[in-house]
Amino acid sequence: MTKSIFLVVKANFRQRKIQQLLVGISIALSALLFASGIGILESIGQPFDKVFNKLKGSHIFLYFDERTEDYKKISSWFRQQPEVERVSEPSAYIMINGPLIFKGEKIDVMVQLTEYTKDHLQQDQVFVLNGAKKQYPGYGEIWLPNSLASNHNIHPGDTIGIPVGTGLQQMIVSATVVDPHYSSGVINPTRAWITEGSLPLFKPVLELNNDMLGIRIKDPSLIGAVWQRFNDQYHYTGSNLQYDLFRSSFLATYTVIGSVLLIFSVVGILVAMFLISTTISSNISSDYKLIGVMKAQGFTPANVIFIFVLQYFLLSLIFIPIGLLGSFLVIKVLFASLIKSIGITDLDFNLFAPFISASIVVLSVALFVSWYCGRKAAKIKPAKAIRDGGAEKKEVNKKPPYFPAKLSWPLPALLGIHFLLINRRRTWISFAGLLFAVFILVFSMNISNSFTKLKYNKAAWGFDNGNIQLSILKGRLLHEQFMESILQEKGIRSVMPYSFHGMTILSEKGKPVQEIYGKSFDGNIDSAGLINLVGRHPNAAHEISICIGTSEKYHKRPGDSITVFIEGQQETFFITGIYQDVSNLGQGFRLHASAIKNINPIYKPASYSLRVQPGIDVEEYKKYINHLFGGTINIESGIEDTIAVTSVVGSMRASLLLLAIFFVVVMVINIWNDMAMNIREYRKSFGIFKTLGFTSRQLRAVLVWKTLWLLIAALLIGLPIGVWLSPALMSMVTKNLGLVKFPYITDFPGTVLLIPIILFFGVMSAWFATRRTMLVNPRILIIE
Amino acid sequence: MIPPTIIRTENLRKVFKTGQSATGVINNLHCSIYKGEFTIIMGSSGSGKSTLLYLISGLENPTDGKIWLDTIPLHGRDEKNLALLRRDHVGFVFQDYNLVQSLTLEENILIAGYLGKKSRSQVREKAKELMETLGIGSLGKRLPSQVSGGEQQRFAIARALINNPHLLMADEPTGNLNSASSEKVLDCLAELNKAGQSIIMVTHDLKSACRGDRVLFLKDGEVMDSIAFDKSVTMEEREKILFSWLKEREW
Repeated sequence: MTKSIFLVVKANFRQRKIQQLLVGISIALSALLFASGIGILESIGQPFDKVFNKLKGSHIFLYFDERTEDYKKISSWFRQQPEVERVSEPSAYIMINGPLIFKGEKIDVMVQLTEYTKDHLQQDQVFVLNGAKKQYPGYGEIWLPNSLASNHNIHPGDTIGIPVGTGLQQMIVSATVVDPHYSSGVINPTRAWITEGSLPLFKPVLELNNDMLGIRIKDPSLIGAVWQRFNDQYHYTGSNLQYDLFRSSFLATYTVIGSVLLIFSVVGILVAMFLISTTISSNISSDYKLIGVMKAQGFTPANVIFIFVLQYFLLSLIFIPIGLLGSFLVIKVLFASLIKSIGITDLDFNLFAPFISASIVVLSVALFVSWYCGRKAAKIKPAKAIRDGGAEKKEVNKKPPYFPAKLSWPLPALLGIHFLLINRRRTWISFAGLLFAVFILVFSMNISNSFTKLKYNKAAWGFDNGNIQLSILKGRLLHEQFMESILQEKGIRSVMPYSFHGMTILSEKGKPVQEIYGKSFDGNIDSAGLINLVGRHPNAAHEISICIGTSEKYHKRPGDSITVFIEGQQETFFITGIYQDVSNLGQGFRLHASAIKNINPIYKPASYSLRVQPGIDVEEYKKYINHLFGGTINIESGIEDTIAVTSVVGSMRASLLLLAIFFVVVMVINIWNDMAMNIREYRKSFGIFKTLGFTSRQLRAVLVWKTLWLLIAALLIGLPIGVWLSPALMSMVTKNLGLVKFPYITDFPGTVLLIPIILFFGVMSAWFATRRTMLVNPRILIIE
Repeated sequence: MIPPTIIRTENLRKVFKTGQSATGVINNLHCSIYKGEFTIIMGSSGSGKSTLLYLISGLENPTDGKIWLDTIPLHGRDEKNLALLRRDHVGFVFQDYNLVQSLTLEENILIAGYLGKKSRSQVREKAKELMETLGIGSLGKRLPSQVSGGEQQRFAIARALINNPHLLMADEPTGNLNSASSEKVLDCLAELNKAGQSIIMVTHDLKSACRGDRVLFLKDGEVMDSIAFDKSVTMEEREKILFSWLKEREW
């Protein structure tokens, strides 16, 4: 019997090659999307963990002032904890608040300049990616994290200027390194390494009071418990950086991509289920008599079901691996830049678990649907099937499907409507499939556009709206001089002086709980184009606005107060607003400069965000400003031009393109299959029409119109839903990135352009799929 | 005087090829069917009746030979031209009615009419008129499955006539009907013929065949013989004549 079943399955494959191929492609695409989604989410941590463990990274970093904390006591406490693997020796560091200068351009980033010591060979090693493979940086040399170097095209051998007092300390970049803690490029500050004993080049010895201590935990899941115990037993006043933050920063973009793919893979699987079920139903109706004959010859109901199960098992066996191979390539391409940034040259992901999960899910779905739908065939009564050749007619529908006879539209258009209404259940399912396709195309188009147009919507991403960012070189130009000159420029619309700061949030008991970084603005923050989700900007010394991640983490809302350590002092601020910011994963703050001036009366900002008048060519104006102020300023490139941002935008666009292609293919398959089934089911009606004088072209037009009506309905509903729902959906995914309200920009021309594209693909699919109507022969109408 | 022909064939041949074997279903068939005539085609199974019907209605192209519908040549036309020709000049009535089950009976008529050259309102008028004439005026809003076989067949006749075809083809129109319904359908056809409609009907039924003016007897793809009835002869007599005539031809 098994042999017979195999022969029937083989015949089915041979007889319906195209239909089986289309279902197979849908299975492959579902496996591709699902495996890519889980693969990315599951595997993205692997290269990071691999490098992190190889370099013996610390899970907790403590940053403190050695005058207020006794590092020996802290080290001793941690060493006694059973969960702790190792505690590092303290490393001295300083924070460079001013921008780095590279080839005359300003790199607006806070840098934690840290000494690389012998102890780093035991813990928190860095891995030299490019440059001389030495154990330590040499004197006068600096090691930069690869993310920072590649974002600004800095190569070993280049020289960078580090602001020191009133001038610049030139350092040779001898290597770019993998520093897992700062590998994401989205955490500000970042870290750079110099050789032991060279910090006095940057600060007087007496001011070198900052120490950093690394704690490596045996099992990262125990970090929380250790940290909780530490806070309970020890009054720590410094700040810290923990594994979860730097790991999730590194994974953030890919987590979003993986989540998007995974969400839509569920839709893909539903579509595959639908295709399999409709294909089986159509096969049963066209092979009704044959199934009856097979049962008459001794096939049991279980045998009949097994035919379908085996058929889709074999189809899955062929197409799931194809999908997985596609997924492997997708993951490889998406991860290429990522793994390079952490120094892995080969793709050594273990995708076994995600691929097995994807295979099991897709295969189970295919088997379940084929079993479920195959049961209809098992119920066929052989005698009736052989005698009547078809299923017993259901009770006649009292209300005939609508035919708009009085409309003066082309007859195929009218019949298209009529055919839509004959099998309403299938029409609804086809409509749902097309609606999903339209929705996802609109989603992909507009989310992709939102990333691409980041520079036109910077405020929503948490950046100010300045066209030009620059800094003045201390000792060469005073803040007041610069402001006086720049405000006289007719091309300038507004100037916002600002600076970076770090602050430590204190718990209600006064214990430090987290170090966060933010900016102070010297002026009306509204004029910098910055926006809040709720509340307003701070405009007084005691006011602060906090980022959404900080707000949620500490349950702080506008009207609450927050106590922090900033510029060496404990301060309590009144929260005026909450904003979102993609940098630092939603952790941060904004202050009015008066707050800093209150603490440090001689404080002067050194960075400026300039907004030029409308119509001015920004690049030309940059050159003009550079010329105007000579060597006293440094102009930096805009956030949108950094490699970190362009690579994120590139990855997102590639993923969304993949998603769009998937659903266009699904749409084509959906239509093709629907047409194939229609031709079979309405063969007799088409034969009648042909006899009445319909040309083959007109018959094809009937089915094309049927598809067209569905497409028009899907577009009419899907386009607005897509435009309306996409930001909400994307916001759910980017919430953990600090974007609770995704900065969505509708691409109206692009969205409108989707209409002809979708109609073109839809109509072409229907047109080519209906070429078999030409073969319908009215001979079927004649009873011999 | 010989009336003008509605169908004329010359050396008509139709060969079906299956793999390497070829079967000639219509072999050098010559025939003329006249305008206004009610022509019956009879023959045993496999004699080529249905294939001849296909050929003379333009549903299939002949392998060889020529066919004229009225003065219009059907041979050598492409599929699209044949479809247009069928639309404007030929009406079909089938044994199992072949109405589109999802459309109401009236819509079945309208669909055929909308294909033609008349305006949509004219088609609706004509459909109403035909339904009235055929005694089915009150059933138009129903689905085919909601009326009897005889009523369905009358709707099929109305559909066939909606575009005022030159020729009405009926393939065993009473084959699925009881005798009462058959009578009604045949009465309809007879009435139409009386009004000048040319009709070709394929049938196995002796009684139905007697409604015609002339019977063509097909055997092995050729017109073996034909017989014409005198208008004055009663139905009973026609039946007897036809029966013995067919018997002689080994029907």
